[in-house]
Amino acid sequence: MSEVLLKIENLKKSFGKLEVLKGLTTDICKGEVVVMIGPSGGGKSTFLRCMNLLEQPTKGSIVFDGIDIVAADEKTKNRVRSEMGMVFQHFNLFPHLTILDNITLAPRLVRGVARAEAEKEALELLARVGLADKAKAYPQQLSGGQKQRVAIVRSLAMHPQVMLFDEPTSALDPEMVGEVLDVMKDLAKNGMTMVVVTHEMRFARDVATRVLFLEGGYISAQGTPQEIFEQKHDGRLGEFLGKVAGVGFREKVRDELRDILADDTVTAEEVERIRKLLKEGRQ
Amino acid sequence: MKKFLAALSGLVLATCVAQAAETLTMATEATFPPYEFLRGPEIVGIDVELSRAVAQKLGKEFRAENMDFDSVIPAVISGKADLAASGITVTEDRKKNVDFSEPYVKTGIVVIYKKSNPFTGKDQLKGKKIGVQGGTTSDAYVKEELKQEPERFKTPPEACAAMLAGRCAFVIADVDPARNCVKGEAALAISDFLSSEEYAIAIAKGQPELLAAVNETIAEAKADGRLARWIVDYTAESDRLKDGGSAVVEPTPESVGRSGLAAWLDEKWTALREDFYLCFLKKAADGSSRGMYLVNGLSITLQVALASIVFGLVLGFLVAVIRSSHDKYGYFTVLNALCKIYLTIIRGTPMVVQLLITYYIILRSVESKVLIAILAFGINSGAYQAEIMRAGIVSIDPGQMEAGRALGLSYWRTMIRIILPQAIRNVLPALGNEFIVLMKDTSIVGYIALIDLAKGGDIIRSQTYSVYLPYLTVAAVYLILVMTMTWLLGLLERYLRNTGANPVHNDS
Repeated sequence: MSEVLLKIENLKKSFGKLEVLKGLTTDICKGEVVVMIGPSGGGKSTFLRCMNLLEQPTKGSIVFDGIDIVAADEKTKNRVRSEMGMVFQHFNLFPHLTILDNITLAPRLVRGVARAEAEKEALELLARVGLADKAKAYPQQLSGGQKQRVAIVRSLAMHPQVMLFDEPTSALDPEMVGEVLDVMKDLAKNGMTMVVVTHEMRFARDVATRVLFLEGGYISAQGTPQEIFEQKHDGRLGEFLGKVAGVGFREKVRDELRDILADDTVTAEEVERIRKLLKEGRQ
Repeated sequence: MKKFLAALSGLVLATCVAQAAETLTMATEATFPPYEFLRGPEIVGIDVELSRAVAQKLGKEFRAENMDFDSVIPAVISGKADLAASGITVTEDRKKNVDFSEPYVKTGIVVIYKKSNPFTGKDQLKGKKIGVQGGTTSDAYVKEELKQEPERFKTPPEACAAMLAGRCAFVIADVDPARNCVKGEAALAISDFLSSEEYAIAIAKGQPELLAAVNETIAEAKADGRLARWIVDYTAESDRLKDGGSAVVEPTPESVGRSGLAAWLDEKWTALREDFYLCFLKKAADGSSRGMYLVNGLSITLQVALASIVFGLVLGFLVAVIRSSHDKYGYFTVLNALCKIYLTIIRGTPMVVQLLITYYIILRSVESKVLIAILAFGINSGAYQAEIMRAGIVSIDPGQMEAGRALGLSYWRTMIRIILPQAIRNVLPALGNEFIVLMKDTSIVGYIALIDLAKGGDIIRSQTYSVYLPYLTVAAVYLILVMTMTWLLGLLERYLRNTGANPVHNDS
């Protein structure tokens, strides 16, 4: 693949005695969309937060722009963070600032962009996600999906080299998930390097260039979406996909439905069959 | 932090240097006519003239410093003043701590009594409530000769007012202030000397040159008749000051004949009007009215209160950030320990004691009492504001700090631009409460002889014997100040609520 943006080697992170990351090694290349999946407590979020040093890794190295940022001084860390966007599960917009100020604060303070210029760009970005009319509103006046789109724009305004997404749709009502995923798809299409922690398997399958399966503090499997989602897996990955993601199960249901809908009638026996299938899948 | 400390120490240093060594400072309590009393803002009297003559002899600038009598001798010992002249009687106890000049006046203590309760002999005093000015010879007399606790007041007129109000049976005081109290007060009279004593000037031990200069000055003033002239002049002036100074209004002939509510109201109304004129409008010798004590006092109160609120805010903010940063992220271990010590000491000791320690010990060489008060109150309030703000900072969702940091903002920038505006909005009611407490707490600055609103009212009371109007007016002014403050804080709260999210709701 092309140029390596983040070279992560043997990364470890402990909270007190609990070791959450037990030595992760991977390269994030320019233009990649890496989606991390795996069971809760597997270390996905911690790994993501280590990449922009919101968590200080205990051991290992992350090389970004030719320097090991794990060992860098505070000033360098601040600069590195300014070049990586991060989108949080709970949006973390600044409630005391307008949408426009939320977006322009960091460009003005960190990058030294003039207010007028920063606002002009902010408005363009807001228009891109369909929220140009919300510039003067405060975060509390927005829906969850709108807030998350603003949060993405806030990160984009810093012109990051890579965007990190920490379960960006987990706190949203189901009907708002789509609008956020659409913005993310759009970003990926335009060549943004992205690392995404998510439970949206459909997004992973459609948009990811690479899928990492994190479990027990290790990258226990990785590959293209085809390799992960369309092949049969044993062990924890197979179990996880079957349970949480419904991969394999999805195909079974699709085949069953196709069979049922082949003729024009749906019998009680057929309804019972599909109900049984769904019940099994949910377990 | 470093810059701030440097600025602070620079300020203190500059103030120290500003105090010229070529000034002779006299410590006195200017409520003791004719020896020392206030003519408008100026301290005048026999002791002042005598001390000024000493300064002239030494070729120094002269300055008189007004403070509580209890503080006069400590001021000399601590070096806050060069000499103390405040009608100070020579006693063996005092001699242990300071050197005394040759006496310049022989005087004594007498009993002031109500004519309705005549004083016939010392035996009568036993077991009665005796009013005195605290810390004076009269105080010692009651304790040592009568073996009982006196009722201590700040000034003899206050003791007399208390006696007229039935709160004590007799007042014992030095003869001159006693004469002054009785003048124009038909209901009062004074006895013969209970004991006689001599007034002298007190200076710190180990200053033979100064002592010699004081003694020479006294001898010269006695010889050339200046001392006698001062006594005559200032007694006359303090008598004029006292004229019509009684709060007791004799019923007027017209009102005596009338009966019922109308007459009673009329009488009270007249009394009130006269009292008002006496307390606030009557011109002193220098042409200013007594009301100016309140106006100038209000200005001091506002200066001290507002400046220490701001100083406390800055200090509280720094301490709150250090404390919460340490608790959350483990930063600033040493500074955090210092902050904890600061909070413990400041919150564990009374404000008055802190003020006195600042004045007499820590900043003893600082000239400006307003500055001392601002520092003492600011440091005190900073401790309380720090804990309030810390609560505010802790209440903010950690995601806010993470979002700021993730955008590349430094820790301090995130703190100032993101966390604090939300934290302050959350704790504004508690912070406002602290401001109000601080504003009212400044009324104790009288302890370091700063004439604020409360002390101003107290001076008017000590000059007029009128208690209702001065104190009630002072209370009303404080009330208006607090209500104004509450209103402004309410406006600010509403303004902040209108811009932005509901403060309680941080999940944005």
